[in-house]
Amino acid sequence: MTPQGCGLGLREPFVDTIDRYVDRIDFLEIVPENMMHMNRKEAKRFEKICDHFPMIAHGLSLSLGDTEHLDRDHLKKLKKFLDRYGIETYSEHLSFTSLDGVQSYELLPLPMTEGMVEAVTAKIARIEEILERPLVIENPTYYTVLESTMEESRFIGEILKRSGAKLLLDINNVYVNAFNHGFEAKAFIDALDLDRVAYCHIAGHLECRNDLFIDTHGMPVKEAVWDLMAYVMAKKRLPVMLERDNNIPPLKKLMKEFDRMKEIYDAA
Amino acid sequence: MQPERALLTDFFAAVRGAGGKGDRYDNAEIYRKLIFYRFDETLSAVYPLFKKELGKKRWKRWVKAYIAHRPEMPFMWQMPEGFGRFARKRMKKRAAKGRNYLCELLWFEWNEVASMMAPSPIKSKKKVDFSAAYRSGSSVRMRYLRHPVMHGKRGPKSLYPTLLHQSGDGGVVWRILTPFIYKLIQACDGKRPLEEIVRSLCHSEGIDEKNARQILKKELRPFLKEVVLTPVN
Repeated sequence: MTPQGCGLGLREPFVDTIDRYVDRIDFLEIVPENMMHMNRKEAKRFEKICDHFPMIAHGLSLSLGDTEHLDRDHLKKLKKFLDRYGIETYSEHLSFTSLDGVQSYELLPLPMTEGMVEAVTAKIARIEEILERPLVIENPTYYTVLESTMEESRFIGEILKRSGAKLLLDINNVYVNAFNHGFEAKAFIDALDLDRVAYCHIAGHLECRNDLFIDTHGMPVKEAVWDLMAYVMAKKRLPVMLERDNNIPPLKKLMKEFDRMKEIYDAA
Repeated sequence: MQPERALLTDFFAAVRGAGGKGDRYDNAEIYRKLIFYRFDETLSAVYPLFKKELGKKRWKRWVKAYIAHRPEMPFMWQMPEGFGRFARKRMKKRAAKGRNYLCELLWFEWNEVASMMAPSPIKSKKKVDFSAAYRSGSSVRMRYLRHPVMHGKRGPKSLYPTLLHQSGDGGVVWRILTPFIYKLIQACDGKRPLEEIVRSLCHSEGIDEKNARQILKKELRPFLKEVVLTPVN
């Protein structure tokens, strides 16, 4: 299933109350790493939610940039999990979190080079072969630029073109990167082929210093990010979902942000 | 890909604090902080008492040292298990004061989580069948502790045959067992029938088997109900 309409990231604090919003939320996104070890009770609860909402998954630990290391065992378990709950859409970050099995659990930047394009493309193919489903890749935030020979939009575009993967366009990440690295967010959007976008993320960030924003997913979405979303939607109406991982407010409050997102989506 | 690989390796070491200060990269300190917060948040949730014992400064140092070491657990929730191993080794190496207590605390705090994350009990049976073979449920964790770490205390020192297991509502409970029940649960290997285990234990402990069976009929019921013990078909 390809997501359609407006979605929300399913998080533990509101797992028991999400059913109330079945008429307003078009799809839910889960983090499989948090759910692959559910006990029987949690699994039953999740099955119920799957009966009511289309479900997609957003991974954290494939470490796409660690191109010499592939955790086949994890991928097989992941496939089993996705199959069990009928989840077709699976996305990962275009970054690395671990190297040779050593973990940082943080999304770290990749050098944007031809060599990296080739290596990541090859890794995507190996992952897709095991998962037996296409991979969607997300543009991450980065706070340092490792020696790079191309612009980010070209780096992403080349990987999408060569791998056939689709893009999870994180609009907040575009905004944060544009601010931190001094480029035009709208120009970045213009440089992307929006036909290759599977869906979008929208989230909040922290204005950490006057020259640095951090992608925290722990704050309400900023006005400038809503504006950028409207810009994207005016170019092409794409499925979009609200992502909140930290400082999660009560669902009722979060749904107000969701409604704002839906308004922009519907107006496009 | 060789230059890129070398760059990733160097950057990775720098932001984990495993290779110099990392000042050669812009905002390396931000990455260091982000990584630290991730580890600190998870480890603090799992080891609140151990953290308190170490004190803020030492805790921070140990977490940073672990990040720079080789945290290899693929899932974030499993990472504290690796930290536990790392901390035990570190204490051993430095012959840390009160090491035995701290090691038991690490064991208890981690196993509360490990037990909760274990696959839930599948089937429960209420009546004790002495002819059946039993094995312990997947959430069961047992250890003879010398300190009452379940109360977050160092003393009084004694022998505490401790059992941790998942309860019916998905939470985790601990019990102090009698030495006899402890040995019995430990001996349930899913192969020998319960009566054989009881007979052998009664023999070695000098207990009347007939009486023991009478008592166990009642005593083992809660363990069967909560799938601490599960019959093997």
